Amino acid sequence: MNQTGASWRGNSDDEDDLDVREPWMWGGKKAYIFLIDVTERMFETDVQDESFFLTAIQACKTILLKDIVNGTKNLYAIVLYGTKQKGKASQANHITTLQNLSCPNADQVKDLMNIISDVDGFEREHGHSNDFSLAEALWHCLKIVSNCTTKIHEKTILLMTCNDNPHASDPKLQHDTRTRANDLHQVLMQLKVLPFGISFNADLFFKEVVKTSRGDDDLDVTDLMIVKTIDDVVSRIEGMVSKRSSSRVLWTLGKDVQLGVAAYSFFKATDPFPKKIRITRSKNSIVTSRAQAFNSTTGEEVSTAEVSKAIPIGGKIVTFEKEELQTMRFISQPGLVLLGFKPTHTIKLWYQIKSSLFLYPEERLVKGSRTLFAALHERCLARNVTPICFFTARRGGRPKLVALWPQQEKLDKNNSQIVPPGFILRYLPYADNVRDLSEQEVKCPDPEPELVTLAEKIIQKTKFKFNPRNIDNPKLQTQWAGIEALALGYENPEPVDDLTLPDHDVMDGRMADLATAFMEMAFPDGFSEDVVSKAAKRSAPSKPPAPKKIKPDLENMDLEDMARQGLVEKLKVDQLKSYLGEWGIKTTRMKKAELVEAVYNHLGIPDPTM
Amino acid sequence: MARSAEAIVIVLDVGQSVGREISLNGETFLHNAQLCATKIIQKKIFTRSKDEIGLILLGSEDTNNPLANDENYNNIEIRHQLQCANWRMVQTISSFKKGTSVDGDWLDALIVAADFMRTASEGKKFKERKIVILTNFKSDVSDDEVNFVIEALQTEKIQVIVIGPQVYKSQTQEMELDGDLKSQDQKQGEALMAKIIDSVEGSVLCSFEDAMYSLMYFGTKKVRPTPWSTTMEIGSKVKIPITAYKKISEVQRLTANDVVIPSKLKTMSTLSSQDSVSQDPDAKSAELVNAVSQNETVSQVDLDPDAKSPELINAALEDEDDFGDSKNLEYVAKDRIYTTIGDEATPVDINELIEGYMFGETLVPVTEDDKPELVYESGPKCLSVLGFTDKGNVPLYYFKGECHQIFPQKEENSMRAFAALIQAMHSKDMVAIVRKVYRMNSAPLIGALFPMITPELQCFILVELPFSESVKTLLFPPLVIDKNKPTEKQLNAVDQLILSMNLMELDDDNETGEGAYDPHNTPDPYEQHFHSLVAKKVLNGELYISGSDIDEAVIRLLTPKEEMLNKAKPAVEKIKELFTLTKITPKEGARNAAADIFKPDTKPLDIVDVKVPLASMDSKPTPPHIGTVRPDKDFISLLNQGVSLNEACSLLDQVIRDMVHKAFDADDFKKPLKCLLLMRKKCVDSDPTVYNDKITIFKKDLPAEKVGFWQLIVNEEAGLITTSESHLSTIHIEEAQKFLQVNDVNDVMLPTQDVDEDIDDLINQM
Repeated sequence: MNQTGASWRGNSDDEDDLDVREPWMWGGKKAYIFLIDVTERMFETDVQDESFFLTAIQACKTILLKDIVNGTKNLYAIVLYGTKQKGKASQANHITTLQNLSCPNADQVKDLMNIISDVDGFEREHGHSNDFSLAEALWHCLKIVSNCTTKIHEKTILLMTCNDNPHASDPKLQHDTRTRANDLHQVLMQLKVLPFGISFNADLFFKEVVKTSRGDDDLDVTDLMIVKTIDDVVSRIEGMVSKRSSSRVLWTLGKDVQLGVAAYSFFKATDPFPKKIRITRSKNSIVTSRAQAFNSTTGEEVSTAEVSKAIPIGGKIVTFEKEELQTMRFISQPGLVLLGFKPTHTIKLWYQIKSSLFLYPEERLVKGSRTLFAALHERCLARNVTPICFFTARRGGRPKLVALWPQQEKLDKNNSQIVPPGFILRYLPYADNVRDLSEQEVKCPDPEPELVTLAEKIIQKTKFKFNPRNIDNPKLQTQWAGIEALALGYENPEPVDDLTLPDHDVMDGRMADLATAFMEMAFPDGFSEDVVSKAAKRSAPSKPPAPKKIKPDLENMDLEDMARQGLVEKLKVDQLKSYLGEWGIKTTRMKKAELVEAVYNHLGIPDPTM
Repeated sequence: MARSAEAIVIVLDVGQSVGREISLNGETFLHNAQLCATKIIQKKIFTRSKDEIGLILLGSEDTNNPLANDENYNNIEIRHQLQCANWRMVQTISSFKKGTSVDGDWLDALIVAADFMRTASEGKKFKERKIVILTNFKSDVSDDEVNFVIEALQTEKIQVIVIGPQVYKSQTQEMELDGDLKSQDQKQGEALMAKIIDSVEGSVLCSFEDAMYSLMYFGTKKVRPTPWSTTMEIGSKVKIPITAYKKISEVQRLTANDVVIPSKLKTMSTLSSQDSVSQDPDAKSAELVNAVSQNETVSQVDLDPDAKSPELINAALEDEDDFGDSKNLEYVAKDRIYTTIGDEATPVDINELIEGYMFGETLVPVTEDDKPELVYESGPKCLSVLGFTDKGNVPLYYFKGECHQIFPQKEENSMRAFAALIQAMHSKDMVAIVRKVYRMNSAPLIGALFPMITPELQCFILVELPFSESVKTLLFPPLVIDKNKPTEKQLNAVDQLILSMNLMELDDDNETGEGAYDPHNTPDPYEQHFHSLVAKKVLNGELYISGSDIDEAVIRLLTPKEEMLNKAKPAVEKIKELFTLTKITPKEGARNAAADIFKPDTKPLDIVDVKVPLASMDSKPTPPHIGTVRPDKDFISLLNQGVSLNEACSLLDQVIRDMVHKAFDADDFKKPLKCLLLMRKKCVDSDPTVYNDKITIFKKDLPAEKVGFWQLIVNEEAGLITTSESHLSTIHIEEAQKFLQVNDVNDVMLPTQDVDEDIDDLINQM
């Protein structure tokens, strides 16, 4: 370890980091251009008085809003073709740039909302024409991207149309389109076609165009799938989000046998809460903030390079200089090191310390990885074993014990992938992470079989199909709804449906008499929380004092520890204020609850997790 | 708190004989005993244990104990009073490089220790009291005292732990070990000790190996589980009182304070503060934050050390002898400074600021009046069931956060109700989806309750689940496609690897039945590393830590077990042989990675490529032109100006045709041929279809009298660009070969590579 360690520690320059960098890390934004067909057919309304065009614009609005909420900061432009507009100077006719390429802002969303509320007016204003050239429209999109001064690393045209065979009578224009599609391929611009209308026949024209634009014959299954609703459009675009691996490393199976793997996260580490900023009252401009360290004895400013860490321990103070703190991180190289295999059942459900990652072969590190990975995957599944490894995600990362849970591909009834095939990289706790709860454990008496039957019936009645995609974060939604209302000038924020709240009416209705029957059987003398808690205290005389009575040793507790345990509110207002004051956080006129929240915010512990 | 603490008196033999006796591992008995005692104390230090430790030296040159008189209890020194473990004890222990010149009576020492324990723990409450004695029993003791000792220990309820001698292992082992090594005294001593251990409850005897195994790794601070009690609800009527505890949690790390070490004490010079502050303070602080978070040391900044760091101050007071520099540490505090953005970053007073949010690129100020609109109130604390769902709907890759266990409150009816629910869920293979609000108005969480039933306990496993906003879509193609289907042989090799590396066969010596790397017994390598560095720093003075300073125990921990590696060797060899694995060097990797996304020869990422052709399309002030004088140079410069390949090739094609047409003899073919080859080269690099189109038409149009030029093309193999030259081409080699044949110059079928071309033609004909 030391030998190999020396070499990589020696060249800490970026040279050796290159292989773990994904193209997205090279910087630059993603640009999306919505190229929308506005010929007459797009405006034909269906029974619900909705047109393809309306769906397209609504989808654009939804996507812009989503981008804002997610803070993805992509660039978007909206281009219409088939308008009556005559191009100025050298510009092509019948192409209108509705919104130029930029990160989404409130005005853009407002514009789209205006269009949605008055489609007819919009139609009158822009008119229709069938004399457009799709080739020119594509060029127009390219030009928009090339004129953009922001660095772009990924560019995509999203063509929305219901016309499956444009320029059907003009082979030259069709040929031009194909040529342009090929040009797109040359400049690495992606073309995605979002067909509207059930009768859309991609074989007539677009299949070929898309293939040409891609430079190969492989078409993704989702390509050219007909879109019907706003959600279809949105999900297609979200589906395009390129997978960013959180780490790409070598997996060492034994001497000289290494394969490349990439790890991906299943969900974001934190929900995309709106980012608070500070604005000057007078100029309405944003300010930045930074923490300035100063010597508390002399009051002099201190550069962070001078700051050392002092650790009081065992009657001594140990100091670590900054350089030391940085070098001592490196105890293992990035990578996955196979330790052996264990039966899958030994990896307990409750070994849950942090979110798992998804592991997939990475040919760009080692050619041939895929085959070996597939073989390991197949055999682990067949034998019901999980590889146990040490995993170091990146340079200077801590080595973690992990179990690689083999995951079979799962498809839904539409043959869309629910889970991709690969290994689920599960972090395992270390000895010190596992708390001994033997004193807290409760041995339950055997319940009456009737009571169990009642419980089973209750479960049966309140069954539903859980999917995390169906439950929004109500706190986040409320904040965003409020900000959206302020930004877009709504009278009131759009009401937020709190999907985390159980619907008691429905549940009570479904359980009907079962609930009462269960409670009556379980608590023959009637249920009362007071009675229970008193009894609970009585029944545990031999145990350490009833949990509720434990008074945490607040005096000697580190505030951060307290925050983790959710004990901050136990502090006095003065204590909270002085703490916050020390950090330069204004506390005047703050109520206790606000102070408590400020402390949690300051410590970056949003809520003391349970 | 004191009730959980223990009192431990360590009796360490530092006398003459332990310094001489060589143990099995080649070290002196003293050395092994020192190591062991050190580990015990260090472990207490790092777990920040409240246990109190006293240290008695046996065989000391000095005598310091209340029982000592001229005849008895000599060479027994009470060195450290009962107190929390600290580094001074460790230093005392390691100060004996070799044994002293005297020997002490171990039984006397035991009596002194028992007496000391009794007096020192008076008025304090301890859960247990233990005497740990490390000696080789090589001193003459008198029998008659033994019964007295046993009695005293029994009444005081003091346990004795003996570490060291290889006594009472197996019969045969003892025979081998003993030989001549053990003196008669020693055997007698051991026999006495055995008698004590047998009679005093809770007493044990263990070898250095056994002791070291359990002491090898540092522990971290133990945390008392914090209960979270509430009433679990299903609908509005079903209520079960429960209590939840964290089962898995991050460890409590050592507290670290930000300080400035005055430069004279520094081992390494650092940047002057002025320079780095003015240059790029943000980057620096980001770096620190990074460094701190990477190490996950807790950055607790104290303005006033007197008020905030009792531990630190006590330390300074206690240790005036050798840790003078602690007084010179100056604390660092932090101020938040707000500045305007722009070239002149001027500081802004905090009172001048209002809050706001970014709505995309739009700035949204939020006034006090607006604020209530942004607040979500989750209401009182709760654990409410939203409903039950099939276990399969909550796959483990959705699990977030740290696991909690939920028990019923200890009341008969609640326990029954709880058990009924758990059994029902277990039998139906269902889990409950719950909303959890930790305390009034804290952010709600969605979680899943899994029933867990073991012979010992019934509880719910609570794991947090993600909200819709953070769920990502991961789509990947199947692992096995035709190209990479593993062969039967390959699968067998992998099977062999799995079988040979069965961790269940290694059991970490713990006999838990969970195999090696059972999370219960696997220490965190980084914590071990960090603690070993702290210990090193304390004991060797403030040495500077370099990157390669990694404790052997940590490395051993991180390396796969040798037994596994040996067993796996044949399988690994086989895999190496059967699978082709080509490592891509970092540089190449980056380039290939780029190539995957960006085609070869299109300069990575640039819009410049796009910009120019478009510009030339837009405005055509000077039409691009290729002359006959230096057509090749013109062609290249046109391309550089950004004229599209297609357009440039067309122009060059015209010039070539012109030159060929006007050619008198073969010499005149040279120039156009050179141009054609150049054009071909460019097309191979970026777009073979352009050339293939042109050459096809060129051939068709070539007058019969100029067939000599075609021969040159054949010689140069400058026909159609094939798949072997460019992956963008669709022309096979055979096709290209055929194309070069002169005899069908005039009636060659156009080998169209674009199917659409045919369709177009069809349409034209219609």
